[in-house]
Amino acid sequence: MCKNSMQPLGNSCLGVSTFFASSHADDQCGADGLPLTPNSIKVQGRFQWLKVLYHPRLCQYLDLVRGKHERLILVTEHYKKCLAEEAEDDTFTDENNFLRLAYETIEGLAHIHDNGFVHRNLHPKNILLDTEGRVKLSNYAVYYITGCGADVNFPVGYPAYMAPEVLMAGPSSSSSCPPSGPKSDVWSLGVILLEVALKFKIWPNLSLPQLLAKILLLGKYGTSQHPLDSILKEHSMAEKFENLPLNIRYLIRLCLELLMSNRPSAKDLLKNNVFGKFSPSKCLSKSSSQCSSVRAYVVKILKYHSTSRISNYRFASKLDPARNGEEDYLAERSLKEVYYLWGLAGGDLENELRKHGFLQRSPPICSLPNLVTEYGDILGLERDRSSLYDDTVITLSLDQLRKRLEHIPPEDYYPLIEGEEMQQMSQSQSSNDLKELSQLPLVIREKDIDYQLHRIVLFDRLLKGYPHTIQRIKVETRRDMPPLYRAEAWAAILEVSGDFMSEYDAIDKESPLPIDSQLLIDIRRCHQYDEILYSPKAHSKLKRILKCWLISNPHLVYWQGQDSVCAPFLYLNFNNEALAFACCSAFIRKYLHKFYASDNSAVLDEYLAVFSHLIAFHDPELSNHMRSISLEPKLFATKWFLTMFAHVFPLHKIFHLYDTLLLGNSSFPLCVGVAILQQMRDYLLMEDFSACILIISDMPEIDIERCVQDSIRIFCHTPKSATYRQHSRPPAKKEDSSIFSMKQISYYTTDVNEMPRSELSREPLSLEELQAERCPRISAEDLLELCGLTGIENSRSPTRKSKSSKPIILILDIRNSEDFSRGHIPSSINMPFNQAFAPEGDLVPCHGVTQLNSHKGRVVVVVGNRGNNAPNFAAQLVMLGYPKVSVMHGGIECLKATGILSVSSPDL
Amino acid sequence: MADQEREFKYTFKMKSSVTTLTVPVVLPLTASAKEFVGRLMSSHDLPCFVEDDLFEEFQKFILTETSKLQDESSSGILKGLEGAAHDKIGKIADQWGKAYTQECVGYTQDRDQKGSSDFTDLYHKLIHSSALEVLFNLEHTYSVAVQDVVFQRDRSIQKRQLKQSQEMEEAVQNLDITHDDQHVNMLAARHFENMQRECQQWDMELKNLQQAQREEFKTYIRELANDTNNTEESSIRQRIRAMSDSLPVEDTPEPVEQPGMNESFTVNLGSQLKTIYNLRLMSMDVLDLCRHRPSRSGGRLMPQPQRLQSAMSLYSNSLSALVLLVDDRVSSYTGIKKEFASICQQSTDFHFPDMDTQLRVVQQAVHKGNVLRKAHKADERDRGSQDNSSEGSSNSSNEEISTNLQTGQLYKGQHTLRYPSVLLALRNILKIAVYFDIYTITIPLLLVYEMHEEMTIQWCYKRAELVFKCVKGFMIEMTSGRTDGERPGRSNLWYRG
Repeated sequence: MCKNSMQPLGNSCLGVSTFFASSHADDQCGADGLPLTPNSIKVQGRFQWLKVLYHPRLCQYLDLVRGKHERLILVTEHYKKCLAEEAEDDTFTDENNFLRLAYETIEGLAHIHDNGFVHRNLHPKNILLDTEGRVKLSNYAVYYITGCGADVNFPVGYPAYMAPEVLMAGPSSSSSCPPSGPKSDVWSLGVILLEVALKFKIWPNLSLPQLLAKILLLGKYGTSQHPLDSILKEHSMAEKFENLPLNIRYLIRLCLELLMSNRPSAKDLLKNNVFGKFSPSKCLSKSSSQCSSVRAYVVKILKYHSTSRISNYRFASKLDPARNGEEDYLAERSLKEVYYLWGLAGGDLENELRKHGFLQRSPPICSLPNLVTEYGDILGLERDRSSLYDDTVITLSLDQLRKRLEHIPPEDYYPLIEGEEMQQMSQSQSSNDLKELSQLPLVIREKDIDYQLHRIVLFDRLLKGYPHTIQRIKVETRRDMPPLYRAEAWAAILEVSGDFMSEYDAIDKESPLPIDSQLLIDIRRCHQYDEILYSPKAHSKLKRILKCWLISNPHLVYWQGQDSVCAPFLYLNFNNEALAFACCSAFIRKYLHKFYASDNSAVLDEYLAVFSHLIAFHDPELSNHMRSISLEPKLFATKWFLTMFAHVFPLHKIFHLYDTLLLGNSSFPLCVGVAILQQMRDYLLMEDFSACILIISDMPEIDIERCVQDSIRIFCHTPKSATYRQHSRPPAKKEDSSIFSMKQISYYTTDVNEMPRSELSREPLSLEELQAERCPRISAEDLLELCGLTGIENSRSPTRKSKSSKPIILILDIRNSEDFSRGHIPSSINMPFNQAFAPEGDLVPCHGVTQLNSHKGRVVVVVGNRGNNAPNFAAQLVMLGYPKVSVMHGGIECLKATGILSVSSPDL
Repeated sequence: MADQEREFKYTFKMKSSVTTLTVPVVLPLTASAKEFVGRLMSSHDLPCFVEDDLFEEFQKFILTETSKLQDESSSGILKGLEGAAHDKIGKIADQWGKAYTQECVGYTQDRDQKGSSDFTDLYHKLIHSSALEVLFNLEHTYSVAVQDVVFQRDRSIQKRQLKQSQEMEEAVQNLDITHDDQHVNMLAARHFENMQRECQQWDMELKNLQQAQREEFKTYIRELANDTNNTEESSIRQRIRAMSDSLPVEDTPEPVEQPGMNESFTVNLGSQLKTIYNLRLMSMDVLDLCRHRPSRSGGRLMPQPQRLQSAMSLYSNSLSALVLLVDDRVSSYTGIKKEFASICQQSTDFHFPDMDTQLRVVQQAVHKGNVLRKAHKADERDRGSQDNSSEGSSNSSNEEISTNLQTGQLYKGQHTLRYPSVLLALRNILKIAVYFDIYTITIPLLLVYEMHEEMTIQWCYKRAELVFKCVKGFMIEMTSGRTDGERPGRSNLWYRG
């Protein structure tokens, strides 16, 4: 629990610091012939993991932003007080305070070492003290994220506090010198503690090389004289030292042991008797512990929603009225959220740095080089002073953010999410504003701080209630997805469950497989414009996830493009490979069933045939044009569906697309395909084959929000059995999805492929038949449901069915009139095939044609006998440009048993 | 850290048999301990009941072994330290000292800030304020004065040339009558000397004028900046305005802007994430981009929009560049270099050293470049042979970047390259451009200035296609891995003929 819960903001601030990664010499290539990965990208990749490293004694890392020219900007939790200032006061002359300082610092160090890296940057400046005076280590990951100092030009660490063995290894980290070990931090701590205890600075008047040499000499003669004694002698402090309490003297002496065997590790120190009376830090600090318990939370909710109805509860009387109105609601949100909101409130890191005199580069025109040779050597370039390392941390002001959020009423931080209160919420002023906001385009909503605050609070609550709240999560996601909680919400929607962590751990992802080299090639081209996915860390993670998937799905194989499918999930769950894997495989199971079989032609061909039916159904003009230039969907859409569009869109568009796609059933991607074509429609209609192929493969800027809206519309206007596929995923067994089996929200969320079969359902057609037909077939039960004739078949009809949610249909009966009069579907129109078309292919005017023309836009269902007549008739209609033409599967015969056929009145 | 292999032993009991598992483990462990145990379990078919115990044992093993390893390596270093001589310690200390003083702000002696950065800030601020107009008037006044001198110089030199050629003609006609060979030679020598002297005089005068102007300009900028806070028309402004108003109002016929052939395109590059570029195809004299044609309407000076833009963006992060093709000598005597130089001379450059100085700096850099180039010699040799063979009709083999400022202030970056490597040079130029915030770049589309007979339409198509494709490739290359605030760039491609 302690490990994974994000710390709330509390009284901390945000701190910003910046440094440059070293840049590679020009045109250098790695062993594989590809250009070297920029160092800042490598740092970025390593950094990601720190975002989830929480410990009460460590300042949390929040973000790393890449700027121009390898600049990196770090955002961390920060406190204004630090040991460097506090040590002047008398706080730490008290033995207990001193030992607590040491204990807490060691706790932080031990956590760092447990996680396999080294601080090396220890300095009184980097030991911060929060408002309660408790230690928070900062700047502890610079050594780690820079690859043990390899990716930056400046040396990491402070000369006075470096251990002799660190100095001896030299400033440039090369392969010959191993990186510093964790015990060098203990030395640094020892020096700091000594300084604090004796209130002095170690060799303050020496020049830098002299100081360094002194420390090295401590190491050289350390075996004969204890380094501590040497230091004390040089500063003539021995007497003062002797006056310190025994525990302190013992501790410092222990830390400054030269030999590794004598110097304890941070973990050993914690167990030392000196610290007998201290216990490990708890996760939540005191100020926020008020609401750490569920009960306190409930109290808050009740307090802020003290409407007449709930104030009857007994809890309400226990409220402490004195504390009203002065609480800092923001303080209880997690740091991640606060930083995100800060960004939305107009926070700009580079601006903040500039305000404090950073980033002051001379104008580029003044620094242009004089000469560039053909080898890319640049001459006449001056080093910019601003590229030097500066360890200053700037405090970001949160005042502006607090001011911006002032008007948000407290109850909005503690929303009610269950029952009727949900609806009642809409009465308050702020939620009315929200309603207006929710009408705005998605891009604006994602940038609006008020809106996002509400969404974040809501999703935070909902996700904490998962899986109980799954239904509500889905409903809310339909509106939109707060980017901050996308990873968790996606996992919830994909119904990831079980112990995926240990499942993932149990699979061997390291042993070489024959596919490895192929994976490597593809991964290095997968969404590489994104800096996180470009990093070596991401490459190895992606490879592990893909291998894990391959091993856990032995009947499937790797298809190129699968890396792209995996990429968005990895991006979102970068620090949780197991979850990324679980999401990715759930996604593939749902939407890409059988797509990755070694022979997937049958599956794909069927998918594409259904896709062309859908195009004909929704856009006959485009379909006819594509047919005339023989532009088959196979030529372009294979890539779309095989990667579920993950290979054709950049990540930010994939996110918006998937936010909706994940809510839809396995047929929804087909509608997305149609929607994409709709956006390119005007170009496509004008061009010939080669130009069309170019346009589609180039994929001009697709407006993804419009695309999503269009695909929802298309989806709603498609009878669900039209997307029936033989190779779709078989219905899940009931017991599998017991927690998730819930009532379907509406007619459309039911997946036709997961419904039980009956004699009125669709049956598989052979691929040839499917490809020969132009229109989708719909099942008889669909037809019945669509014209509201489901009286007999009430078992499957949705419970809350409103007429408006269904397409209005027009049934054309193409049998000859005698058959028609013997029995037909009520309200169907008779248009015998043999009389309907003139020799040129036009329709012969008749009653049916007027109906057709006056009700354009309705779904037209062609009903005939079993056989090819109906599909051919429908194809002719499509050729004439009639939209929404479909064929009833199975012919009129299959309806005979239902007894709904009526006999027409004799006068017709 | 050198990877170390350690042996991990695990013993467990099953019924009566005792099984021992021995595996080599490479430290430090790359994957998590849990995963490693998972691998062990599956590859050795271990019974599931040992898993928890195995994991515990293994974790303990990893912890102790890793820390042992770290201790060993540190101890190794310490041993080295113990045996190290004092001078070696001194050397290491110096190394560290150098690393700190060169890279960290806290340890460097504060170098004094360059005075010029002051000026650039002031100028940048003023040009984006209401002082814009005043500045333009000032610059115009100066450029008129310079042009005047240039005009006089050209006229007087022309006069002298005429006179000299007449004298020479006379002398040659009367050869063997009044003059002999020696006389003619002496005359020629005298002519040359006089000419040189005159040129020098004029150059001197021009230089002095420009120097004076430059200093005056800087003073004005400072004074102007001082009273930007005054909303009223300050004395300096009035003085400057008076200066420019007192200029004789020449009724220069408005140069008719030929529309020229000009077409714009927008392209999206990249497979998933698209970057937008604007391309403009222009058919024009490239140096028109550099010429300054002030125009007056109703007695007020109207700056050209192009000039306005380059002045406003001069010290900004959005620069423009122009690529000129020149021969392999760093000078300004021939071809387009000469034209360019004469444009530069038409007015004083207030921001950068004059062209000759810049050329000298470039010349110095070329020397250094040659030294560097020797280092690449082996590489060069097998490329050199290809270069020559396909040179063909192209007489352009050298490139320069000049930032596209009206007064042609900058003349930097040079490449000594033969034709196919022109493309390589183009790549380098684009790379530099991206690095130094140059977002508009103008490139000669056909990579030549003069048309020859063999340059058929077909040839032009081919050449243009080549350049387009290369530039496209370079642009994609430059933007990859640079998501940092990359703004959509704009490229002007121009051609002649």
